Amino acid sequence: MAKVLTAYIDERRSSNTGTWILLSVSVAVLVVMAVSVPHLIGRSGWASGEKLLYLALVGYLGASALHISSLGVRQSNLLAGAEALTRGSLLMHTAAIVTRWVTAGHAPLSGIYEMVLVFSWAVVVLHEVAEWKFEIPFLGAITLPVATLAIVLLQVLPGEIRPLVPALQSTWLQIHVTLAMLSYAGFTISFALALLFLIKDRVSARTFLSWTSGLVAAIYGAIVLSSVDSNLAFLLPAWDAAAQEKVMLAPKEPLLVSIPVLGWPFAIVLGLAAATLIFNLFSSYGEKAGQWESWAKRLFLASIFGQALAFGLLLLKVHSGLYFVPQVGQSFGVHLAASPFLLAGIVCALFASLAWEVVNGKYETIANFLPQRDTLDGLIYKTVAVSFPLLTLMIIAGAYWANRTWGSYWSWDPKEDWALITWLTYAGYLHMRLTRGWRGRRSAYFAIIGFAVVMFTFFGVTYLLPGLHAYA
Amino acid sequence: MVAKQQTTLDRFLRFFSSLKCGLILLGSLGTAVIIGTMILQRPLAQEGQIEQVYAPQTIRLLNALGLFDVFHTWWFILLLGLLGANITLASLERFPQVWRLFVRPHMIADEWFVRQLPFQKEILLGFHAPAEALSIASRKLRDLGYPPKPKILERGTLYVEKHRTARLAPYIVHTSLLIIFAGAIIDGLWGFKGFVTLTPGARTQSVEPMTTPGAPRGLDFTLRCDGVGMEKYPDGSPKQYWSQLAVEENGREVVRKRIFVNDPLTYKGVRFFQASYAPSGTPHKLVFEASWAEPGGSMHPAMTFTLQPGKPARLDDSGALVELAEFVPDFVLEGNQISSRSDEPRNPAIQLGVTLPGGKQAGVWIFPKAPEMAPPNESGINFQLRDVEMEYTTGLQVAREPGQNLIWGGCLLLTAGLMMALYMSHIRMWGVVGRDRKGRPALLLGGQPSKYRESFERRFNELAGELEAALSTAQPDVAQAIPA
Repeated sequence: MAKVLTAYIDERRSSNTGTWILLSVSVAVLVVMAVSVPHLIGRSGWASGEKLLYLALVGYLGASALHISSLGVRQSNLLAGAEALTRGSLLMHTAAIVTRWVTAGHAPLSGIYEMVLVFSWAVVVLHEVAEWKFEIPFLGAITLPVATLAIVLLQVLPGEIRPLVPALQSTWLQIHVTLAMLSYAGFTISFALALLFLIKDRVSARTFLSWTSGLVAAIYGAIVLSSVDSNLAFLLPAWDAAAQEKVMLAPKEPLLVSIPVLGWPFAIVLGLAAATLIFNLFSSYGEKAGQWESWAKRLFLASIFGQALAFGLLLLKVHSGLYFVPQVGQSFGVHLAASPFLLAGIVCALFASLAWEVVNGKYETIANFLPQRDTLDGLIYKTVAVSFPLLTLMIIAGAYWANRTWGSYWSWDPKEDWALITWLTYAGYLHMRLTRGWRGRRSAYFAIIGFAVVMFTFFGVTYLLPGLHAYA
Repeated sequence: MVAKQQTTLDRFLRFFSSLKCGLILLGSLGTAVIIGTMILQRPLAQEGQIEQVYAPQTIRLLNALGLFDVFHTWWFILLLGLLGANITLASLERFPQVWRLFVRPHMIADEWFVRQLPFQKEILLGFHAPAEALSIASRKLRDLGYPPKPKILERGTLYVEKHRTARLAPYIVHTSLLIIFAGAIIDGLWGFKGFVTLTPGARTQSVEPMTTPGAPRGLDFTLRCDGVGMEKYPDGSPKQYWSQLAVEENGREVVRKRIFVNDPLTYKGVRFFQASYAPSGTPHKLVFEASWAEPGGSMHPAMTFTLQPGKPARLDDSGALVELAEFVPDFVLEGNQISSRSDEPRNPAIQLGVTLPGGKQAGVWIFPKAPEMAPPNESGINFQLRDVEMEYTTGLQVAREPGQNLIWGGCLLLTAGLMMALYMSHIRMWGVVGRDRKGRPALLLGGQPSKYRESFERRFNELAGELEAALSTAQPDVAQAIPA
């Protein structure tokens, strides 16, 4: 009798959970939009699509939350809500792109802002296509956060509409960038499928924890190394509000503002994430595996709170006025636009950590609902088989454009080099699969590594490599 | 049979044409490319930038390894050459077999063969005679878009084949890569890249090479610049640069074209690209206002005059002759020396040579943006600069790439080959008459795709269903069953 009752209550509870989540996320989305109404009033920002994009961002955030929760709660109205919100936001996103196009008089394909705008749009569109064609559940739990992260990045990248300089006025350039965004979005889908494959292939949640905590540690390590000084104060570039740019002491050397105390949460998160990784690794190799593992999980949960704290504190400090810089004797404000990747890194780490928690909690359910291993494996191949020729055409179109503009189809430029490396990586994947019959996990790992290379080609080259060319 | 002894050469060739070798070469190449992006490369770096960024010992080490110009060092080119050789050898080794199967595929089958195929279906013949059944099936398949080969049908096998070319796809891809390599080699050996700077009215017959040191490269024709210009957007940023160019050969004008960025001039395989547009530092025209004290005490009303380099201007009312002695566009004072920071007229320093009516000569320095710095004016005439028009030079990039067409052809072939290799599936189906597992006469249909098994399976089952329907409904055919 008791068993029947508990089973009944469980069933009611889980069907309620889904509805509760759907309701609360919908309410949150509406509240955020309502709160933003004063910010949205006014004529500026509509013509460039900025305000439409902001609405799309709020929608995508909600959709990401719904998709991730549907990993844990398989309920039709939750999924329907996720899809509806995704489609509605995609409409806003499309409208943002179209208005920008019309206002600028040229397609939004020049400069990093416009490329990320089109890339994120392509990811959601391909997600819709993939969901319709392949009927894979949970794809949105990965693709939507990627698109959302991209739009978060857009909020802090310089996005003024600029007229095209002479070199960018070629149609070949537009073809080249369009192909690039489509192929990168395609590789994002293969990445999502590869992650789902690894779950289906029963890669343990513990292994996932090592990688996720490693990612968080790497991100926060980079933040701490670059922006936290020995007094655990956080260093941010001073922002000239009038000129809307960083205050530079010398070319490539911005004036830094020291924000005391802010470095603490970042250092703590770094410590917690690193500790999680270490404890997790110990649990594979040491005795008392269970103890190590449970400590690792607790530390990771703590790091999530730490991440939220760090994020909140950062936002608070950035918006709380001016900071005095002794060496110049003046006070400056700070702005997140000066460090776009700081924000992107924090949000990425947070998404990944939350996703892990959900996956860990509901691992078996998720794995059971995914299609067959072989199906997923075949789909990874299919998406790469579509994106790879697009990548090839992108490189060719880029070479042809360069040849018409500068007389040189290949100048061993870092951007070109990394496009080539991406091409070689996926060529390697296809070779291994077609000639050597590689399947399964190796295939999935290749797709994940390939995606990392794609992201480096897209962003890393512009921001991390010895900067010679101001390539957007 | 005596075992053939493997000579060292054999073993070497075997390794060298293997996939393993290819992967090692690709990995090395990839690593070299990555290193080339992490270390500042000399061709892309500005003057002295490398010395600024790296410590002297690091520079010595990296220089010795050739890491400041990875993409042009001998070992990188060797790697590319080895990769090309590996692709060639690997293809040459495997191609003959594929070609043999391509030219003469296995077409005639028997029951045993069909039962080995991955996809099979048994279709009962019912009351049809074998030859008749084959003919009905053949007609049906032809109607459905899968025409069986007539000659094989005569021999008793229903043989259907599509997209045989798909088997050649990998070799098309690799050949296209080799063609691209060949084009690049030709360009490397016989092509050149350079630049030339022209002002309106100038002519040139030689081109400065892009990579210094190098002697200027002669052209066997003359390039003449007739005009340069720039269009701006309303906000002042550049919209387009153009140069009006003409080509003269043997004293006659042969071609005339206005080139823009993205729209070059091509003549005899040499291409001229609009690259840059900048003031030359020399003024084209200066407009001044001059005023002086009249004998009598009153000031002569200000008089506007234009001055061009090399053309003295006479101030008629005063009888003075003014000529441009020196023009520094963007001056900085270092000690007693005046030098220019740039070619833009941001902070000009102008020296005029004034010859007064009595013969007295005076040099007048004018600093329009810093009048307090000007030395005393002994000429008695007060000059105010009203406007300055700079002379502009156009920078053209010059390139000759004889291997270009090979490269674009190779690219097209690569794309076609890739799409074939990834999307085209070579499907083959055989049908023979035999007996099913229960001993009844049946058409044994078998099929084999080269890729995309699931979609082939679906299609195969559909076709088998159609054939089943066709064979069960068709009337016994009294006429001879030789296919039309």
